Amino acid sequence: MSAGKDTLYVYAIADKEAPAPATGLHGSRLRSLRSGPLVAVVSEHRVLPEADETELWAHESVVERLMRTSTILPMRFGTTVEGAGVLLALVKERQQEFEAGLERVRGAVELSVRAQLPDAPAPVSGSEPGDAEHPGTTYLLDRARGVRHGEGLAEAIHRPLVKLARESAQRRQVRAPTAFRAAYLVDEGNVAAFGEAVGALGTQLGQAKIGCTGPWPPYSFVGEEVG
Amino acid sequence: MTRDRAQEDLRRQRNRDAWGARNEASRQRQERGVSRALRDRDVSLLDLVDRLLDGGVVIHGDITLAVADVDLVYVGLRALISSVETIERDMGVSLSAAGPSLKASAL
Repeated sequence: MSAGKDTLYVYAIADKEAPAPATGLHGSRLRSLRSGPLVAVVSEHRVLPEADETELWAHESVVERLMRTSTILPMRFGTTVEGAGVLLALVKERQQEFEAGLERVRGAVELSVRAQLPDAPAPVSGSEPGDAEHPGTTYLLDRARGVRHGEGLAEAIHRPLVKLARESAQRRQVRAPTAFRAAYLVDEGNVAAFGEAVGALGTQLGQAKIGCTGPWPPYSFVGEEVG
Repeated sequence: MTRDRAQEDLRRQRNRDAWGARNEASRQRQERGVSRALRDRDVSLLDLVDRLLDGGVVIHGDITLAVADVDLVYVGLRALISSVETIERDMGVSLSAAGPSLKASAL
């Protein structure tokens, strides 16, 4: 996709300039545009990135490099602004919000946890108030039991992990009640302990398969939703 | 900020083609049986897609998204990552001990 002459591709709002020389997508030069205490890290492109796997990883590695030297609020992939003037005005307009956002994530990283919860145990035939004459009722009761079972296990996973986190953001998955998916904002000093806690859960919960990826930039902790 | 309509259409077409190609690759891979390494990689990609296309700071106002149809891209990418639900169902316990090239290696 081609871009106007002054189109800026924005990676992050940061608390300090990107260390020179810094490279953005497609080998471009990273620029740091300062607005008061904030810096917008951008690059100029004639051709803007496509949302494919390669470009997503390339974008991510630029943002991760920034994260090593400064506290950042990562932008959503594909954010462009027409010209430095427009961008600086936008940053200035939301300065308070961005400053608060940076304090919220300072010294922390995001860790992602996914787990597959085992299915609920099969109902004991005849012991439930549903029967062949009421298949709908039986189905709903089974569903409800499955949800309760899933919630119990999700809580067993979440409880020890949230203790090691500053914040968490959990996503309910209506279509896959046995899939657990959550993001945790964890102090850098707690990352190792968090990893151990995930490992311990894997041993403890037996069948529940659990995995953790990260550290990520705090993508899930830059908006209003607080878990 | 003028955006050439034809180029926009071309880009969308390219996105669709890319999804098609990956969908096909994904299907073939599943038929062959997916190795654990690929699954781990896909889980990391899934986390990446969830974050970059659904998280992060969104700035409104006088801006253009390079990914104008970002929701569509998001849904498409999620769908083609060798079937999200399959990964979530089959996800291996060894994720946290994945190789150095994987995002999961950090833990």
